[in-house]
Amino acid sequence: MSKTILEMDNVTIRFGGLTAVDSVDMKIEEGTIRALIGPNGAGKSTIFNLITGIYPPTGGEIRFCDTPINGFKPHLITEMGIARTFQNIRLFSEMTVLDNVKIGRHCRTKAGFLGALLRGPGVKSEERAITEESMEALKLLELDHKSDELAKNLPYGEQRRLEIARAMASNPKLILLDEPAAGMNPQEKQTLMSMIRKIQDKGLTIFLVEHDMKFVMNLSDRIMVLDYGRKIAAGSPAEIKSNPAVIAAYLGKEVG
Amino acid sequence: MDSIFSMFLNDYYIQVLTMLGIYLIAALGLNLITGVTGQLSFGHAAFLSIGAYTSAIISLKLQLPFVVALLAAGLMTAIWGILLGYPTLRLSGDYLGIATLGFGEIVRVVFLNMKITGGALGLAGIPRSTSLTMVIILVFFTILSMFRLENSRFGRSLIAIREDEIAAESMGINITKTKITAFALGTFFAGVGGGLYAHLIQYLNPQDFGFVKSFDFLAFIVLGGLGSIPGAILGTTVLTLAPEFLRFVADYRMMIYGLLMVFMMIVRPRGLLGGVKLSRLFAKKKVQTSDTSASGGAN
Amino acid sequence: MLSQQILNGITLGATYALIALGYTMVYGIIQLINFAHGEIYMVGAFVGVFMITVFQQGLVISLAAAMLACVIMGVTIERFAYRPLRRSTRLAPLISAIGLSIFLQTLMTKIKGPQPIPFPHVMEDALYKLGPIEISKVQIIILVVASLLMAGLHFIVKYVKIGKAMRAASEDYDTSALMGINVNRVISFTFAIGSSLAAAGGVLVGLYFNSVSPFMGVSAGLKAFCAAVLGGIGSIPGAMLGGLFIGVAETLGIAGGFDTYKDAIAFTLLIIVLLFRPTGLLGRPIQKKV
Repeated sequence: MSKTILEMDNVTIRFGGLTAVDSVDMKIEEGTIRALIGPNGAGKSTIFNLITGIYPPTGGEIRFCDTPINGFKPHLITEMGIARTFQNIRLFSEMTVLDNVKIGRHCRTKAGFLGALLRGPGVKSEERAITEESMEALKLLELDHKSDELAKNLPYGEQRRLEIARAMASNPKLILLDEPAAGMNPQEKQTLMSMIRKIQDKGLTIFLVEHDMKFVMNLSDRIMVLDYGRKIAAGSPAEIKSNPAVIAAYLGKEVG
Repeated sequence: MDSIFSMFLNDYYIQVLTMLGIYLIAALGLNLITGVTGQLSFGHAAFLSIGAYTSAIISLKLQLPFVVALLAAGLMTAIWGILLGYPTLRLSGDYLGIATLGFGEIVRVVFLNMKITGGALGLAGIPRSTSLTMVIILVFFTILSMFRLENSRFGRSLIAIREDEIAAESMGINITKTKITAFALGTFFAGVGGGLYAHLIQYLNPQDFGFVKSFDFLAFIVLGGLGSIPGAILGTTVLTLAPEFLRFVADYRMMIYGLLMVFMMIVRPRGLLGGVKLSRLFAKKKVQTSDTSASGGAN
Repeated sequence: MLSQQILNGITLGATYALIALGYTMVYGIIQLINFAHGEIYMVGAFVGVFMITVFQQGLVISLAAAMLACVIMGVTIERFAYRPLRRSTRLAPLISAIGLSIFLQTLMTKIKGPQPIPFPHVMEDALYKLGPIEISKVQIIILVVASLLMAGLHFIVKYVKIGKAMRAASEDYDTSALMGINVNRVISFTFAIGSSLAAAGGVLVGLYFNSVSPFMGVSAGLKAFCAAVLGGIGSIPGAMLGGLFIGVAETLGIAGGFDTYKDAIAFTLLIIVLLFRPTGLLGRPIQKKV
């Protein structure tokens, strides 16, 4: 029914002799929630790094809204509408919560250093708009009451949510969440799940990596499974649960 | 206004204060590069010398007004900042510092060998156009500019680069362009400082702009508290005036100065104002939430 | 003619390499650019002169005494000026090092005056002919002493327990601490070795150029540091290679008529190498970690 927003075509990346991602094909439809699962070291975060331009792929093609984005710099890809969070939280720790989110607005605003020096009316109203929109993103993740705190002083679960708020501030079409529920207790996970649903309701597409199977199965429309850099299965949560290759991959190493 | 100063201060103190003002302008420039953006520069004195020679040559050979000479000094230095920054700013951390150190030494040797700069004999007879009043006004403008730059969309992107380059890039910041802009702005102020210096001392010699001087500027901003504008001002003031106050120990002055640097660093590893937010000090007393951890800073 | 210049360059480069080793070993373990290292080299040279003139000792004893004095100095400096700053920002120990460097230079100027003093005459100099090249006795001494010291360093790092610990700490500081290596001892030892090599370099350079001054550490230290980075900072063979490379390039540059640009040669080479190999000739490439 809906159109494809992200497409990976035979994407491969090698680091020296190691093939971290091996000929992966994938299509994500607009407005859906897609999960990427697999044992540790399967190449999940590497896929995120390929999509966001941190690593250029060794082979294959990545298309976003039908535009090939291979070799684009990360900031251009963000500008096109892909935002992300990081597995090992990467906040600007010495900045306030609000300023962290304001960085997310960077690619949608334009005042440069001259604007900063002269502070004309245009710059001032842009800055006001940045503050308002950033506060909105904080509200969505229920962090608005903490806007003046330094990011590093937030508890772990809130730091994860702040990363999502920061990504949301860039008005993405597609948001990549790298283990958003890691380190959260069951109640926090429940809240997070409803927040992600809210994000989906805003028309965004969500692509997430997560280890918590209950979380993944409840939330996602479709799931892709990766092992040793190769796609071993893809389908609906029910199909994945009963897929023998997936069970083998997981039981071989860890019980998910 | 200068006549008012000379009623209260003798020429020597006016000279010292004018020099302090010049150092403040240059140090705030370095603070933007190293303190705010986190890009290590060990070659700041070289940028001062580019500004100093540019302005001196414009005054001496072209006899243009001082304002033109100063502006040209700033712009020329910023151009060299961009030329150096473009290839080297992709180097990370210490390697960038080392490349800028090398650049500084190359600039010094080139000035020693150029005809127009007077080579090793130096360049003399520069008109004394720098006055304390003018320097005070320019310091004021520099401080205002720094506050405005830091508290803006542009300034936030600089801090984001210092805090986490990969995250900044992933949030849509063009890090190459932003770093180079910061470098150009910081070196612009160094160039203006250099122009003021040339027209205060009236004589230039490349040996006065060696890497030792570059490290002086680094010491100013690190001792004050890296990335903090009040810190850079305090650090520069303390270290510029310390040798003056240490005159009573005569020959031991620089020895004590060196030890003072070590001692201050050990007592306050984050700098005099490191981790202190002035706005928070003045704001209503809240429960102390700010950190005491020793992380952060450049690199 | 060319081969003669290369020999002179290698001799100069060997002394750079001795100093560069101290920079590279310290950086390898604690990522500190020890800017006071050049001053240790300078003090080493003065101790050597002092032993020869005041205590009337021979070259070997004086060399050993200079090395020992600098071991004590290096370890003390690390203990009091760097160790308290180990967990703070990267720039803090750097500023501390610069402060120390100013202190040591002015201290030596206070003791001996700012003018260079001649190195005492310890032996008859002689020139030997090797085909087209002439090699002086001093050059032979420099090359032999430098080679012996570097071989000794190689032996320690490769086969002695503390040397292996050094390599481990340089590979991964935190893990080696968890594995029960006393990293404080390893770091002290690294400063000891680096300082002793610098002291040897100081005495040999004094002998070679027949001059010692309180400011000799500034330019030599900077060039040796350049050598360490050029070779790949943290890499011991890299420091040796970098030292020789810069020594030869500088000598050839002077012979080629660029003597007024002498001090810029090392840095120009350094910047060019860094642009193409951002971690130096033998340095390991950095893998961007996300």
